[in-house]
Amino acid sequence: MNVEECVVSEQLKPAVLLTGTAKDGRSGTPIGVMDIGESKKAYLCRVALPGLRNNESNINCDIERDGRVHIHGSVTSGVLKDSTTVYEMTVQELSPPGRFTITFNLPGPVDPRLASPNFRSDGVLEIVIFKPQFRKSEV
Amino acid sequence: MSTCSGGDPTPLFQYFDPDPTEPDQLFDADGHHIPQDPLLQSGTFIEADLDPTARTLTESQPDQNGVTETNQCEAPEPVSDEPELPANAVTTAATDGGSTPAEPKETPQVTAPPERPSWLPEGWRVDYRVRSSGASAGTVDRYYFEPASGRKFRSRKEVEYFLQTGSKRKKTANPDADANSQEKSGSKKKRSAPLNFDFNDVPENVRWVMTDAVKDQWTPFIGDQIVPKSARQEWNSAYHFSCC
Repeated sequence: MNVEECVVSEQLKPAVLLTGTAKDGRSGTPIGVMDIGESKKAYLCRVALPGLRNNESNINCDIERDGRVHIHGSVTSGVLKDSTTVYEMTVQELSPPGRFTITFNLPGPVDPRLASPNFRSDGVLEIVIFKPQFRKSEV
Repeated sequence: MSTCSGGDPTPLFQYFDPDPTEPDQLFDADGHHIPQDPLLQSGTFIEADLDPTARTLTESQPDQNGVTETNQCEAPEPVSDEPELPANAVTTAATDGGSTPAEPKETPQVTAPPERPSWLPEGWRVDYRVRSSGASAGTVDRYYFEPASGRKFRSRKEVEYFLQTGSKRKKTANPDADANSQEKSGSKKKRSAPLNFDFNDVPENVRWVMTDAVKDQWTPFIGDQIVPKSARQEWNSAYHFSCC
């Protein structure tokens, strides 16, 4: 990877606030790694949520009109499914179990009603959110 | 086997002797001789399907429940959506199998049994079923079966619609769902904007909660209140409207 690319990717990095267990696992594939894209009408964001079993993670996302998004959930992967054995971790790079919040801003205001979250089976939460569409004719 | 009705000259006992060389005497499973019935000739049988009680039911109308009440317990018919008939279902089949079912024929059937509706094309089968339970128990429902596909129709209206268009009428859904389906299928022409969706009235905050992880279904809340289904449908159609 050359220096120029590094600069570009730094520019693309959004200001992301991580709290809870999402803050602790930062060296592996951490929770909260994301893409944000923009089209003429909408924004797309993809957030990596590894370790979330989608049937027990209680994911929800708060979308505010000004483009601020909060994603809440809980990591369950610290516990092996159907096992009572306790393991002491010698390497812990994934986020440990517990609740977390990921907060970030989209580049502009949105209409939070026009959102379609989609938690993919590969552990990526993908959300398309439309920008506000003000229409004079309907006032 | 053709069925008959009260006015039909078909006798109740049918003589049936396909092979006259067969011995007339009957034997049971152990080989014992069964004495002949003094009333029935050998080779004669009683048609089991023939149920005179049910036959009279076919003539009755739903509003004559009081009259036919006593008959209902003798011919209880479960009302089901299955096109398969119960063994004792009262069936009126058109006896002429040569007619082409696809061609609608509106000419009244002179030879048809009396209870067969005259407007029904040849080849169609009619079922009469008595509702056995519920508040409307005793009501007789008529079902019409299209001969080629066996598809079931519940009313004359449905049959006539099918004969005219060749397709089954779509279920009349609520207006919201109707609008939704139009949204989905309206790819040819430009979608019309959702009527009740105010694009300018953007709420401060919406919380999307994953309510069904298996189906990846998300439900919006405003504050602590779940967004009502009608509004969700509006949002959904507005979303798809925005996509194009």
